[in-house]
Amino acid sequence: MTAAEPSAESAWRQWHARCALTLCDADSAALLRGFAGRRASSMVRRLGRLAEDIPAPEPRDAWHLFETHLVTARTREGKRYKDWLFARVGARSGAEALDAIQGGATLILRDVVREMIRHEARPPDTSSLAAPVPGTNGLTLADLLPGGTSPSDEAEDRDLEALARRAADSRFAAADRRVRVGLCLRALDLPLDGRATERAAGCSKSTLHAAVRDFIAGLAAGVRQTYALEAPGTAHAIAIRAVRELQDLAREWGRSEKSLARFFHKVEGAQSGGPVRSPGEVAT
Amino acid sequence: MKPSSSRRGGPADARVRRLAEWLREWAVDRALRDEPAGPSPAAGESSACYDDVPGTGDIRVLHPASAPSAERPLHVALLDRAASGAWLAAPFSRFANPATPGEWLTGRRAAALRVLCPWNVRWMPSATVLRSWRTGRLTPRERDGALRVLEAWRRGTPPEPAIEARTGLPVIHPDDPRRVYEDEESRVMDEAAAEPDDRPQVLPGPAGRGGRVYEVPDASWLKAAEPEKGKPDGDGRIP
Repeated sequence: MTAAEPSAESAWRQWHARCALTLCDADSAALLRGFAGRRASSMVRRLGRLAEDIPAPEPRDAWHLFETHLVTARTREGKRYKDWLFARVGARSGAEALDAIQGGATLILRDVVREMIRHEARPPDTSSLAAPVPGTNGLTLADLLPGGTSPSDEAEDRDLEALARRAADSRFAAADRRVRVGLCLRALDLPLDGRATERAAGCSKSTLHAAVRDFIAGLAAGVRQTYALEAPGTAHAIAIRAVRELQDLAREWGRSEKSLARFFHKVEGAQSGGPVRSPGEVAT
Repeated sequence: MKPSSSRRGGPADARVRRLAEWLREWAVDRALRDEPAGPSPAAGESSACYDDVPGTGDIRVLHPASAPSAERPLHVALLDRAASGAWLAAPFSRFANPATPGEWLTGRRAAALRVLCPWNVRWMPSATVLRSWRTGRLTPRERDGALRVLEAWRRGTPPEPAIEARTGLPVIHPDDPRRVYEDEESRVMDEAAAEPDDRPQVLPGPAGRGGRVYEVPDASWLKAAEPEKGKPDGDGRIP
């Protein structure tokens, strides 16, 4: 680099200050276009067959896609991704600051390249549901489609509800305190992270996450086993309802727990009627 | 009992096509994960300036330190506010297609705002929301649609057909890649919605004078989120 050439960091900052690459010095503009072009090319190469022989964008096009991908409106408010990008820097300076900016830009470019492939590649073939799904161990689209979970009448729905309630009651009775706390927080739409949560549950956030996940998976597996001979979709329908019941039970349990009062206080008074969360989806 | 078959033709076909497209987006996304992306965002200090008051219906992009594992600018829609000052925030997906029945095509063209994910709502501390930038607003119709998707998700039942047509298909297979996706996104929102009491807090200076860093207790942040007595907050509602 000669004395007259801009540093990469000053080029990025100039772009931030001047709002658009067309308003930057020629050297800075070339530097930033080169960055976007190199990163995008590297990503397209990495995709191999997933890129379907789509060529990497030219530097000018790569930069244009980068600069416009996250714009939500023509106003300054619509370009807040730039604030996000430069807020990554914090108090860093020099090479560290540049790494933080370019690291953030690379994350955005990932989305840009994925979107470019989505636009340019052939649409996925859905005429054959037996085609393998990329990135799975031989699963087909047919494997992932719901086989039917709609009860045909009210009586049938009541049957499913009763079976779900029974499954939820027995599982909840056997649940330990940390699982109950986790389910209660999920029912309240609150995070499982944080010191107050760890204190209430008596374990780390990782342990709490794993405990709740394993508990739900165990419930789904139990339901699947119990109703293995029923019509396809029955076990799934019961499991979904059972998890909703579980969260109702956990919320009711939590109301009487003094240590959880602060969490209930946090979500009171909402206009949308308060949280009554169910996970909705349970893989059976 | 005989659950009826719901592998329908017609309107369901668009949802099947979107699932296929989502699965390809996911595969490409996974393949790009190893691309080096530099250090995590700096936590705690920043020269950012936040010069607006959050309101219900806002679409906001969170500070990178609020959700470092998001690995993208995390856009959220504020659907509601509790008396405590916490905000009910639903994230937007990075994908163009809805993954599950809890995700909803908004009809917007902006890449960051195409798919809203009410299934992943969290009550977010006001301090975190104050430390974010407004990037748009939901229309009343969009907010109503988001709340309907959320309500249906909570009940475990489909929303009305017009809304259901713009959502994804349910996950039924234990090895469905959407399970991994849900787990990852759930962690991101847990991280974003955690109380920021472990982090130093940042207050913006007056307009045009960003850059001063202040250590303030949580309670002050909560106070800062309150509207002045007798004045409505950003959405014209007195909480």
